[in-house]
Amino acid sequence: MARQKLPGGNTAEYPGEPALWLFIAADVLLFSFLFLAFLWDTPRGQVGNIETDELKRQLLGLLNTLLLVVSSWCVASAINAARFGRTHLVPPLFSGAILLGAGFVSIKILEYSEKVSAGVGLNSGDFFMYYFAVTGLHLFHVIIGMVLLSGFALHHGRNPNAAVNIPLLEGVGVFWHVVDLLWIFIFAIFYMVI
Amino acid sequence: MLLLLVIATALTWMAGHGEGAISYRLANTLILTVAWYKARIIMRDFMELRSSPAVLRIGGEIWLAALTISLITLSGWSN
Repeated sequence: MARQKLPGGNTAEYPGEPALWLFIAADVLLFSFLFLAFLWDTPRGQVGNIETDELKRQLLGLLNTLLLVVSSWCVASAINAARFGRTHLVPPLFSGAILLGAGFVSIKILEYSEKVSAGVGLNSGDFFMYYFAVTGLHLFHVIIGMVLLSGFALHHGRNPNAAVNIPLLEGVGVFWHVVDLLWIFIFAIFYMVI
Repeated sequence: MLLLLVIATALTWMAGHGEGAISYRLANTLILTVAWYKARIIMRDFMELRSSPAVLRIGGEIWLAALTISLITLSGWSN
């Protein structure tokens, strides 16, 4: 069966570059290990093993999930537009993704500050050690992603006729989708799983 | 795809809040299964693994399945 090429006349068979996918694989494996270690190390089936307001916590997590999912969609749409020569759509769609990412970061800061002011931190037991470590590492990825998206949005916003480096754009997109994908599991494990 | 992701997220919410009616094991399994489904949509459609070479596509499916099964096992079926 013939391999399919990516849409828009691109001669590549997969988005981004090989080195990127190696990095993604390593990054994802790291998070996978942390997820497994967390579930191994913390007890299950205990309602109320978390000290803060559970429903509000879960609603914030839910909101964060929706923010990242929609922002991923914005990025995917932007890359698709760029492939078919509609580069002018990249700055607004990337800006939308960045705005939603900023919403995510704001909610995270709110969550962290609530916990810290309640005296809860990395030393407050296994659950919070993992919670802060994993969500903190993820937040770092979100910020990196936002910086990358901003770079592209600014460049193509200021130079509407500039040539687009499609593989590079796709690479940033893949990174952002991985950020979204990891959060889906973080939300499931740290916010919803009992 | 976006609509499916939003609906699946709502399903996660419902699974986590079906108190009394289902055991925590079942709730956790449901939550993680929905996570698997959502991650799969992101991988296949947003990350375009659906049309990528087999090593990426199948590698991704294997990793996702292995992670989900391991997490489900640890989330209540392993004590």
